[in-house]
Amino acid sequence: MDNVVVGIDLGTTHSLVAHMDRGVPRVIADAEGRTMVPSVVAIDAGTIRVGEAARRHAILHADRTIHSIKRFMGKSLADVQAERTFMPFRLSGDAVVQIAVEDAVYTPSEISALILKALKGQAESALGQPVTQAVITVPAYFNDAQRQATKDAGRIAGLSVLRIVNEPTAAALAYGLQKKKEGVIAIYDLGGGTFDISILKIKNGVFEVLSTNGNTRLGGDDMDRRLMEWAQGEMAQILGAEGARDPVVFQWLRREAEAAKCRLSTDEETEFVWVYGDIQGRRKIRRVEFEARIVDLVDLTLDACRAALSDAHLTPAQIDEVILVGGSTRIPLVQRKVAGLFGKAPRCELNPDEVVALGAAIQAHILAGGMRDLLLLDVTPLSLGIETMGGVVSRLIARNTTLPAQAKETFTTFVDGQQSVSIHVVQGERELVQDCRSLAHFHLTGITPMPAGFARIEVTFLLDANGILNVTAKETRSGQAQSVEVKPAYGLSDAQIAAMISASAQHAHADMRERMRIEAANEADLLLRHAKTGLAEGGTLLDAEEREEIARAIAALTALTAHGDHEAIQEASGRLDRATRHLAEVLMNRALESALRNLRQSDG
Amino acid sequence: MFQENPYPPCWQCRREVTGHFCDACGAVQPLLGDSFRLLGLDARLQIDVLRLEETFHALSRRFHPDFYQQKSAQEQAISLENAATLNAAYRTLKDPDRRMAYLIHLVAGGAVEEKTAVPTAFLDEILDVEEALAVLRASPDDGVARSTLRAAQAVFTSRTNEVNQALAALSAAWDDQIANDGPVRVDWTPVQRAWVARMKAAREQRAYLDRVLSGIASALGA
Repeated sequence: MDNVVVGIDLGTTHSLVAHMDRGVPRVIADAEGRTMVPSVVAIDAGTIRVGEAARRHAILHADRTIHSIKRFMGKSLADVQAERTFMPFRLSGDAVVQIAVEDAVYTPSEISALILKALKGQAESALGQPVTQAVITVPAYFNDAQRQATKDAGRIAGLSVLRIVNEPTAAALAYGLQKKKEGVIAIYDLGGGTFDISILKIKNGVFEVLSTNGNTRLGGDDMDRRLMEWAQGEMAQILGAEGARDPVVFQWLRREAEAAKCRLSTDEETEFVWVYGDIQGRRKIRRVEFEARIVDLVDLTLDACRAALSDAHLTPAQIDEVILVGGSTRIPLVQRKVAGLFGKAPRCELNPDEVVALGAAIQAHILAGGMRDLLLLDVTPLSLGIETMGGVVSRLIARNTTLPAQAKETFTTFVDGQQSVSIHVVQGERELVQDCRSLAHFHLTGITPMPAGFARIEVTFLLDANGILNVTAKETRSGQAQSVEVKPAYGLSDAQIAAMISASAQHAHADMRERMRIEAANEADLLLRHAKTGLAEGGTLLDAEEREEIARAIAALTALTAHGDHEAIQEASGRLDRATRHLAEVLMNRALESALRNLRQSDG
Repeated sequence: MFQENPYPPCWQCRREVTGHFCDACGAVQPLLGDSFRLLGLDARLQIDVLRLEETFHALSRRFHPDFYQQKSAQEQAISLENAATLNAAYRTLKDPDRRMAYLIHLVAGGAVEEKTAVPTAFLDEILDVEEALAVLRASPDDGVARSTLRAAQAVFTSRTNEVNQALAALSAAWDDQIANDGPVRVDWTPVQRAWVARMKAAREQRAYLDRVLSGIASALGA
């Protein structure tokens, strides 16, 4: 069977998987026909639930359910302090934030890997073949650490990630392929947790990104939070501050806020309902009230659009088409504001929830060698630089440079006999190192001892097509490759990832146990039903002690089916099976006798 | 005229190579040469931008890593490097200012980034400006200093325009002699070096004037 490479949209609130089906990109549905998998993971008593099941679980077990993990990807503990109130977990770690659930801690890459694994399984069931390679999309404005964390998640999930593709560019690919359009287009992508604007030129099948801008912490989630904060304020007056902060109330609010936001895209007014124990509250909210609460967020997206236009040296009038991507672009205020900025009605004829996954599938197909007529030329969203004297950044690769991009710098030694040189690489647009994001420290080691200033080490900084940095070095006099040690400022080492892959195998063990438990419970149900009907039919044919033993065995097994592990269930099933063996024989004999009687009667 | 084959033998099969790919084994070869040559252009300052874009797209289709995913690790590495080289060449040549800076680097050597040079003819004015800027930093409403700066602004703006005109004339002259002499790239003539030296000096002056003018503008605006 053909090797299939799937495209995955790993979203903040929802994720999708798609593939190329005879030249047409299609999203892959689960057994119930759903294509959007909620990006929610529940970890409860060692059992992992992902997607819809986890979302249902969240209502009663808020403390064991993780939402919006994408916001934590590639972040340190210090980075995520602002998100704390919306993540009811104990956070630890250092360079990589860790989330404590029950007795275990998980990195964001591991949680994302669980979602990826569910999508992988969904694709494997639908396609009837193993899936081991994928293209995964990320917000265009993701930095190196966030991209690396996404790639790591893929590895932990057992996927070889052929490419990290930017979401708006993927959307452009799907749009361009379906509409066969050429010209300059702007992709306005407002998702659950992130915002991107990308401006592309499409010509002769080449999709060239001219500029990109965005905000990796701005999306529909933030709008839900505005509604939640408003509702929490009102609830606190009724329930007290404590009640309004209850995790159960919190989950209710999260769902209600999201639902109310969605209804307000079509209705002028909606009702917001919350329940806390016996107390129930309802409150009307009008669309204009909602809009007033989010208008500053929408304005932030317009600022990013203006910056992208300026970087592309274009005016709004020079944009031929504006394409809306992401569920949050259904909000009428967003559509109005975008139309106002660009002076034309934005287009949204493709399903904004699916278009990114479809584009990822197209890129996957290109990488699998199945297509040569389309080519995506993307850019790096952030400038890359190195620290120089006094904490000043020396820029090596400017933002919006087409990928792959490389810069070479020659380094030397300052002290006689110096054997190593350290290079600090940062990402960002500011002049001072302290205002940029540290990417990694690279140590050039094993330099042959020479007088100061004699060594000539040429270092190549290469941003690959994923937007991920690779550094190599060589001594120019000898031409010898120089060894480079990387100390990433954020992110995981290879050893950590290897450990996580094996931990993930243990999770697979936990998954397996859960399946065995369910199977044992199903068998027990069948056994119980047979035992009960058997007892009703033939109980009078047994002595009292036998009847009591069967009743005890039924009670023991019933108690275990809901929560017992599969060994206990099997043991209790065995007991019931043994206890009912005589009953079964008695019933069988009776059935035989009556059959024989009937035969004799018909013979006679 | 006999031209020496600039390509080293194929890194894979060691046979003779005459282009971007080995004729014998088909392996992609590392790109050679300057950005103009890579993108099929003469070393001129006026170029056909549409043709440049077409060439860039055509070469991207040959070298982009997307099309090497199923190839060997070495070929993947070469395609990555080639695509990066190609992207840099396109970025340089599509922008008129970067194009000129690159030509100067090609002919005169040295770094592509520009230095600034004080235009010697304006030393007095520049000293006045420095003094006025210092006065304004202490007392932002000083009328004398402000009028000094306004006068200097006018002088320097017209000087910048003169430099730009000179650069335009130098560019046109350069392109003419390239057309007359044909695309000589390796052994630049003394005349060509002289043209480029003048371009370089003019650009260094302009960079200086730009810096002074933006300093004056922000001082007056504040």
